[in-house]
Amino acid sequence: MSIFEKAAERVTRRIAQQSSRRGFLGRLGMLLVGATAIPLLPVARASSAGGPSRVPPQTTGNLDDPGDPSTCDYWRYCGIDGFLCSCCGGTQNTCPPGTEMSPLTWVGTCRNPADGLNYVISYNDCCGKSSCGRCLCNRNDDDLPIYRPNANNDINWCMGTTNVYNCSTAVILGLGPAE
Amino acid sequence: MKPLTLVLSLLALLVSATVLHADDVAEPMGVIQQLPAIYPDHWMMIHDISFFHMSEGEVLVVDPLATTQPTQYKGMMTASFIGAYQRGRIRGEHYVVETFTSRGTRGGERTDVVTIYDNAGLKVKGEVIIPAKRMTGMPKPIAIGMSPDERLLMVYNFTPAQSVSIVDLESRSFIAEVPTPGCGFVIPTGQRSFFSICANGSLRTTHLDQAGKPASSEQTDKLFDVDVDPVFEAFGLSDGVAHFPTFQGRVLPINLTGESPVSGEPWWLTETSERAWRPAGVRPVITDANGVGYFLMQPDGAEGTHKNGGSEVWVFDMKSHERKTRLVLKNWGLTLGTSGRGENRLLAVTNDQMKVDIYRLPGGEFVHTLGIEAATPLVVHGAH
Amino acid sequence: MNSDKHSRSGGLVDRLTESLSRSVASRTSRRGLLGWLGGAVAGGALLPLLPVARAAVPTQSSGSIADRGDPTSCDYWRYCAIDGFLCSCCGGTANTCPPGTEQSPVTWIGTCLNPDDGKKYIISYNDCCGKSGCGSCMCNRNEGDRPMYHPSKSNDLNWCLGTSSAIYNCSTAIITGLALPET
Repeated sequence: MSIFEKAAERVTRRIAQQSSRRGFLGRLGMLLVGATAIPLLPVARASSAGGPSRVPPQTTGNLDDPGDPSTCDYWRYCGIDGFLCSCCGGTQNTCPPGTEMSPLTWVGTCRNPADGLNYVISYNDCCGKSSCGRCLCNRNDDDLPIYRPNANNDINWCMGTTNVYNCSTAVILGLGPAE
Repeated sequence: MKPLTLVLSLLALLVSATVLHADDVAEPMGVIQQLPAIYPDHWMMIHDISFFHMSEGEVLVVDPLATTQPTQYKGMMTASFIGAYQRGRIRGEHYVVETFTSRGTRGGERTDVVTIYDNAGLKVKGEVIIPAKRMTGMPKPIAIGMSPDERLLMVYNFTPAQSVSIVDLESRSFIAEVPTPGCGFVIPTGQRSFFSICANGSLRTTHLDQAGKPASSEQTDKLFDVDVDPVFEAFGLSDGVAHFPTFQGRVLPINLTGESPVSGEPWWLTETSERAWRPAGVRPVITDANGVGYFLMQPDGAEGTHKNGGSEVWVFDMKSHERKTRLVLKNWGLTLGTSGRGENRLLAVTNDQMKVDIYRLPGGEFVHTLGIEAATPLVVHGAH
Repeated sequence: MNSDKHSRSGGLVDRLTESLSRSVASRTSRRGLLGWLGGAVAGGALLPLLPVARAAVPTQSSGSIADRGDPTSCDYWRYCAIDGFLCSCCGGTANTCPPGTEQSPVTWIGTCLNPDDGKKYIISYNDCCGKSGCGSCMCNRNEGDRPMYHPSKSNDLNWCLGTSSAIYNCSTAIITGLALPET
């Protein structure tokens, strides 16, 4: 990892810890620390691989991105809170047809078991249709708590769009800090 | 502000660093899935009326031959307060008639709309506000109808005064509300007419002009005894004839090809010795793309069992009225749907666990139970 | 059922009672209690129908000797043509609405046999409206029910009409009188 990346990471981390979400957004108009916050059951794991049709789990088809994006233990979902868009007509990083991706979001850091590296994941919600209701998943892995929710972590981040929450994605933003 | 300057420059570095990094891992943001502009004809639109949370009803777009929940579930459209769904083949659209209230489930001002979606984007392309009078209740296919040229959409109203709202789908405007006192539902006939079923067992026909405005109406004689053996609120269409099953197991055929409906001689689904078998269910009859008829049958029909569903689906040649075969269902069925053409014809049966079972037609081979979850998926429409 | 009672109409009532008792028997099978619900409905709303779960819901008595039965149970005699959530489980009773709801002035009518006195009663299934679906004690029975184009005998319609809100909460079963013997 280059020295520029290391420096950028440290700064980003510090900003996230010190700024309120609103302030960060107000000043920079960029991605925001926050929570896709749908008040959910504390432990809600999507059904594991196989499901009712007893078919082996899906994969992304990419060996560098292992696991089944329709299950809660997929590596990117370490900080997700909501319905998995992979079960809702979208994928782990795209929205279902007819919805709108929220620009405001919760950002986490998850470890990819394929390469052992940490990635910054942006949990953009997809908005504009009523709750998908499938594959509910909530994980708050505290392996590397770089970003922490503040007192408003149950705000619906579809607020900036049409307000109605459908499901959550997990989009890779970049590499995260080394362990 | 110095910290701000630092932050800006370092964030710029972060952006450029990720761009410069050899393994560029950053993914594009804001990508929305699209569906094909023309759906494979075996796809289904499954309407979950969400009886326990009526304001959150939905119509799911489903590939019933895919093998996992995520690959079956293609997308969805909201359908508020037990909406009514109509497929628009000519324009590649979906029409969802729904009801909204300004204070949600607390009530408030009611607004009924026809919401128009496109096939590919599943986005709302437009809406037409109609009188806030549409019938809300258990979903029946005849609560909504379209003229054959798909220019006019017709919605049954019940306040309890009965009427039909006419919508022009090309101009996306409300045209007229036509009273149909004593008679309910809307079954299109000819090019610019429809009939409603009256509480005394007769039919009332309404003729519209080309634009959809009411022109005249007429009534038939009594065709059936509503108390003794009424027709279900569903029919199987074959060769321009609508076959309505009755509670006791007859079928009343009504020819829809002319501007006025013409009823034919009723025929029995059962031999005299098997009259305990009766059709039953939310929608107990469908016809596939070849015009073959399928009836959901229960073995011990009696007064009050007409909604219970059935254990078998009986297959009929709708011209000769000959029963071709009896399909024994894997699970007790509550309602029928179909999709697909030719070799790809499928039967959908919502079973008593509120899951949707898929069978191939006309042979009835069980394919699988869909993995999509829905609370009360009581209507299945085909994309064909 | 009081099989030793005979009305003045004699044979006719006996025949009617007989056919009703046959349908009572089929009603008490699980499928007969469920109409379009099938065997399982999301939310576990069927639980009160099972003997085990019934213990969890306090039994309500209507207080009348000739009206025995559990109004929180789908097989209560008055519910022979009901379709919806039983108000008894929703803060109301078999014939009153939950707090804050509004009773619909229009509705469908059923005719149910009271097994206690062998008489048929006209039941008015007025809905309670203005709050979202109760969700408890879902029940569908269809004796005497007719298709929706015959509205006064159809329990498939949302009868929250003529109220300030069409949102449906639950259904009552109010006795409006004795049924006249059919001629």
